[in-house]
Amino acid sequence: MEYFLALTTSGIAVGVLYGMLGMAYAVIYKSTGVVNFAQGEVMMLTAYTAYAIASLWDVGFWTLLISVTIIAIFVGLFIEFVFIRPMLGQEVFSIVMVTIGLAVAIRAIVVMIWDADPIPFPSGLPGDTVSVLGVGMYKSQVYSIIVFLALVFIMWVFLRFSRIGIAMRATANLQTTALLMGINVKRVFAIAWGLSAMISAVAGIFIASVQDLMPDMWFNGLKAFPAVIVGGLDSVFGAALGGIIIGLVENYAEGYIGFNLKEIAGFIVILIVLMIRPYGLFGKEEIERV
Amino acid sequence: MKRMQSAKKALAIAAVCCGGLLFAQPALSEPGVTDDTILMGSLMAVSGPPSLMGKAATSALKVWQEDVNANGGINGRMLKLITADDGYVPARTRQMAKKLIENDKVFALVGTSGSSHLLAAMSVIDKHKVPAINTMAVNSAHFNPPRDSVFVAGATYCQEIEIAMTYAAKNLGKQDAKFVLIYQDDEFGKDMKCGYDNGIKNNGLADVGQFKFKRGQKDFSAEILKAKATGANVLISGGIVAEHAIFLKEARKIGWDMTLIGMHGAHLSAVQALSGEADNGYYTADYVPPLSATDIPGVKKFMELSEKYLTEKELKGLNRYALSSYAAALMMEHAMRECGKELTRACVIQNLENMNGFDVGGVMSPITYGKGNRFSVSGIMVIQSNGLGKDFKRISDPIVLTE
Amino acid sequence: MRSGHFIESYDKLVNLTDNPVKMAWSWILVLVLALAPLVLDSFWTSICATVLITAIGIIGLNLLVGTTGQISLGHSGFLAVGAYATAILTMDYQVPGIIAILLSGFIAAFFGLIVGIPSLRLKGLYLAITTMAFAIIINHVILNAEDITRGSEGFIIDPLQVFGFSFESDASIYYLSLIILVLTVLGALNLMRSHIGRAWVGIRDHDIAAKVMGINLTTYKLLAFMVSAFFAGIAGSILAFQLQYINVDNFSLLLGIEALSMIIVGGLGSISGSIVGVIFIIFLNELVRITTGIFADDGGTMSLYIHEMKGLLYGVVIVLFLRFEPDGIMGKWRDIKNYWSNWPFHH
Repeated sequence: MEYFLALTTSGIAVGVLYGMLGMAYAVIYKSTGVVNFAQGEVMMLTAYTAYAIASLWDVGFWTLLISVTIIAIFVGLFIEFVFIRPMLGQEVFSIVMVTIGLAVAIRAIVVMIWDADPIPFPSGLPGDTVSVLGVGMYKSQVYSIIVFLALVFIMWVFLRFSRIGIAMRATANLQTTALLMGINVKRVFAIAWGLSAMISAVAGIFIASVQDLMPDMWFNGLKAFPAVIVGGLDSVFGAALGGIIIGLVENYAEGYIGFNLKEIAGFIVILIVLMIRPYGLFGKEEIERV
Repeated sequence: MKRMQSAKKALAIAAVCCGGLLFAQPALSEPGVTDDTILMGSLMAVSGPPSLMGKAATSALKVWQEDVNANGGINGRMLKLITADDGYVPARTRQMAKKLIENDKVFALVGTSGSSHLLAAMSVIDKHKVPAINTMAVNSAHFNPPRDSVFVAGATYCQEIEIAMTYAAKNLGKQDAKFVLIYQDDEFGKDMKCGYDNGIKNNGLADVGQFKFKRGQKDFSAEILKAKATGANVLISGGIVAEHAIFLKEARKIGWDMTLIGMHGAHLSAVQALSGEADNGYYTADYVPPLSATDIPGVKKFMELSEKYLTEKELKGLNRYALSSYAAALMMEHAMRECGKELTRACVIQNLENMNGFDVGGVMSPITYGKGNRFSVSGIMVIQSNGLGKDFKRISDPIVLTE
Repeated sequence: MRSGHFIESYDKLVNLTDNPVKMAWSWILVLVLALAPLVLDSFWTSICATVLITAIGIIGLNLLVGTTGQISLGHSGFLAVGAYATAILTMDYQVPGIIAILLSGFIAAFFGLIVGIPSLRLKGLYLAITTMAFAIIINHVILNAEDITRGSEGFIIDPLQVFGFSFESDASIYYLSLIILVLTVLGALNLMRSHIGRAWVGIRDHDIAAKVMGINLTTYKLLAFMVSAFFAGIAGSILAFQLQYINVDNFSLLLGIEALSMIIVGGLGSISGSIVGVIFIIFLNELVRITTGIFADDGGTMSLYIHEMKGLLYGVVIVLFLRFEPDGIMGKWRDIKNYWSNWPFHH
């Protein structure tokens, strides 16, 4: 039982990170119909930025988290304005390829600035561990779960009640109608990118404080794909839940089956889920009319 | 004196053996050799994550080149070194080997990148019979079957781990401990498993579990939980670099009190830095001593030369790979010097083959090759991390595995 | 005065080309390529051979992505299947090399069929991610099925032997790839002008409309995946003979993305575009290597970032092409041609 609990808690601890990245994917997909393949790279870039800030000024964890998320919003807006907006009206495939190009470029830039050697991340958190249900966890992992829950709640309130959130949902529903109703679709797109970068920055800081900074930490972005696919690309909460599902599946697969299944368990899960529900568990089926 | 003679004799033999080749082309048209320069090549990953290793090795070769040239070169010929970056991708290693050998026409190779990377380049090196020395990543496929011109020195990971485990059992009081292995799902990991299996079998130790992980994996919570659940108290870490630190940190997180033993990849200050407070004085096994072991003449000389020739940044980047690379350079230098003015590849190969107890200043065990023997096995030291002092401490003399 | 290009009969429409000048230039190009190894040194010959091999696979990818509109991020998987099939067939089962090349293509096509099945239900990005999952799983299987694939140790492959002739030199591999590339181009062009090619274009433009017009989506989508994987498998097979050593590191996910960038740069849905894209990207690589002076003897800091420079340039090239020249180099070429041939009535 203790073993099971330990697998569960560490599964959830990883799962919330996938969940955050998954939400970041979903926010963009929901309002623009594009999967941002550079999500993991944006996460990496913000994590390295956080490192730069923390090594310049001695700031506490929360100050670091807040300042980096604010920077991240601007990074997101910048990317949208410079790279994505000019592509408006092009095929989705082209825009996705732009994000792939961006991903490759960001990876290169990070290594050129910070070098390829692994760097310990000065998270500003005490390195000591706490015991949760008799299982040891890092403080940062406990925080990440709390922040994740807060994030899910904030997103729910935002999408449900705020004007912008309602505009985003309207845009997601049908772009042309939203446009006709007087919604500034361009602004909705920009906000979606900013919001998504912000969420991935939060994920980035927590990932870095557990795994340290490495130039291949963008791979976490790919590993979060199963989360967002399981949940459905256009469901923000589905992605959050999907993250936890994938985190748990990975850990149980490794803990009880082994064979190094952990690293591909997520991808096997999405193959199965997609065979049954081609739009993910919580995704909305698109009905095409000719 | 005796060695000189045997070298001369060998030269004569070489000249007879390779007579056809020598007569076909005049000796002076040997690739990469002119009246006053020798062009040397090195295949190394100096970009991307594995550059930790390639950069240090490249710095060491730079030190060697500057030092040799400052002392009049090799029989009057100055060294010119070209490093080709393969980015640690085997297909590129092969392409870069072609570039160095067929385009730039280097005389010999003093660096051969990683293990599968040398394998990928092997057919190119073998075809042109280019003398090549590998002291960076030892894999039995490099010298078994032996290739004419490829010389390997050092120790396999299998040997390192077995010796470290034997030492732990005999000298660290771990005879009755429970051992567990976590290893990577590739050929490197297989070599680690080989050492682990031998260590268990030959010392009668208790093996309580073996777990595989995927290369590039970042989250090890499940693996460490499984390892702890076996009740083990010695973890043989089959990681390369960052994994050792992650294991230590995860273990500390879940309150697992264990001793970690890793291969020479753990003998890097980067591992200590990443482990931080989790560094509980782990052990590693290596065939080169720590850079701080200046009681060894070769290490002392190398560090002095490095201070002289390297920039601040390069000095900081030095690590164990610099020493192993420096040893390869010393071997190559010796083999080339012995050839005198008539420098040919065949002669260098012959001189390398004739090496018998060649001393590389104690940086590695004395080097010995022979006919059909292209692997010189090195003694392995057990080294303990002193994370607080940011230092490594030798705790054993070089141990050679006796079959 | 010629004021446009008109096709007046159905025969003309299904012809490979109705333009004798184009035909002549194509054959001259092949002739020039055939003579190239005589003037190039061994290193550049091997680079050119790489271009030819890559082009074979890229033409296959373009048939799938450009012509049929099914995005695949997992083509590195098919390349790996082809390469490993060749390695296993020739080294462990002593199958003659030339037969192994063909068989590798068919084995890859079989995998294409399997990967193609989700395409019947999935669309767009869901499909793209599924193909990526395939490439990841293939890599995992190669690493773990050690008894068959030698795991991460990699496979050493003997040079290709045909009737006692050994394809060892770079020039011989170059000629082999050239012959197969010419066959690939002819095959692909013929497919494109047949009812199959037209059905594919129909599916790309609007699959439901295509279905209504009587195109069997199941058959043609799966066929596209199989044909595309077949070419990738052939390319993988020759790659194995060229490298004579393969392991999983040669088939990273990045390769699939590089491949997509090639067809974007060259031009989606165009055979000549595929080839131009390959040439552009591979020589761009070489250009970066030479200009950043990787072989600088002082080991300057620039050379340390060579692969980063390449990565950055890749990214920038993809973004710039999509932004300013979404039809790729071939699209630009068409514009320029139209401009001059219709002058002064271009629009």
